[in-house]
Amino acid sequence: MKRLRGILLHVCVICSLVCITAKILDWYNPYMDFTGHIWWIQMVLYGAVIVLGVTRGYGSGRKCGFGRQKKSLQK
Amino acid sequence: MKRRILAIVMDAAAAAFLILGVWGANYLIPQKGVQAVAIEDTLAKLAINQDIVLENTDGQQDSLQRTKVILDTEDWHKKFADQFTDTVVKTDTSYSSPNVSVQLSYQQYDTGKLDKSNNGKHEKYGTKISYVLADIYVGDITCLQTAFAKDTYGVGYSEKLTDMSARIKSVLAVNGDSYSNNRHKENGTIIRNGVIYRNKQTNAETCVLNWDGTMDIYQPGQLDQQQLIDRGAYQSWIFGPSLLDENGKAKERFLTWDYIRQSHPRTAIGYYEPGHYCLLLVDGRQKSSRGMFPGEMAKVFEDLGCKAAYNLDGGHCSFMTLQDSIVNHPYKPAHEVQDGIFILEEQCRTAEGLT
Repeated sequence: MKRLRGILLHVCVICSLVCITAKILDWYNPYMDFTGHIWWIQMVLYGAVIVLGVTRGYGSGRKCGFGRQKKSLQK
Repeated sequence: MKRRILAIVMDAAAAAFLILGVWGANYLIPQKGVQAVAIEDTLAKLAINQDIVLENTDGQQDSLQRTKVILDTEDWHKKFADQFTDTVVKTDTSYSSPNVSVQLSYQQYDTGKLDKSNNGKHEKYGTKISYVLADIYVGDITCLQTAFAKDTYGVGYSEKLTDMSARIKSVLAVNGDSYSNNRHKENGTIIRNGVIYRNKQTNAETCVLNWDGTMDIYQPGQLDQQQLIDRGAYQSWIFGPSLLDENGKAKERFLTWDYIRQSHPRTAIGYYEPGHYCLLLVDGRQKSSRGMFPGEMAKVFEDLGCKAAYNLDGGHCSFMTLQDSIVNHPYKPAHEVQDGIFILEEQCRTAEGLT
């Protein structure tokens, strides 16, 4: 699971870089509709973010987030 | 730390690879190509009232509609007789014959205005502007034609303007509107030499030159295929914006995006009256000429007395050739373009009797 999350994290970074570049290119020439041609990359990004969110935040949020914080405060 | 930096670099490389892949697959690799219809074929089909059926590069047959040929009742040879010569007379800046008259004029002036847009990136080019203006008279509408790169309508086809000009044997040539750059689903109507290659709505203004020599500017949502057929549309360009209002006065607001509103090298077409046109080529992105704002270009056309004017693709695509030689001063060497506008001598023929 940890490995999958690592891969998904890279997927998020790569897809985000592509989306930002497409937005910049479209600003220079909106006719090119670069953003429209990378819709599938956007879908991959959304999917990766959702999977990351579900596996990281929802499933083990207390343990790795608030739980740890609470413990350290108690100490 | 080193590992993290390496990971970021690898991610950036992967992103760059993806972008290049999307760019290559969607914009550079030739696709959906349709062999352009020669104007002789269009006119011949008209005579026997037959549709044009073409085979595209995928082996499928496309049936292309053509527009009605509605010619001006006035004979342009007589109307502009004082502009034409009995024989071909060529100089470095002019060309005249019994069918065509082209006169180039070079202008340079200092606007005293820096382009401070785009975070001041254009300021280094200074305040000067230089341009070439081609004043054109044609004896027949077919002396003004358009052509696609590689003689093919589609995405990813490009060719140097000088090569196209030599292939077509044109007197004068400029780049067109780079019709296939617009990759939106609603990317407008493309009519070339009386053949409708694409019929879609667009959010840009469309410039239409009719068989009778008049020029119309259509606002977004105004285009209707049957109306264009009945009106006798001969050429259409989709880039814009249009530069003059209905009274021939320079517009102050332009229907285009921010980048185009900056100063750039420009190509534009102007219309005086049927048979009399002009092509403007503005150099840019260099100290001797920073390029023009749309408003400056509109003022040029207003001062010339044009009734309509329309901006075509600019930047690195802006080139003008006279007799196959580049006559403007581009900031980079010759660049491949997707289409062009050509003033022709040999192919020029009277279309009388075809309607």
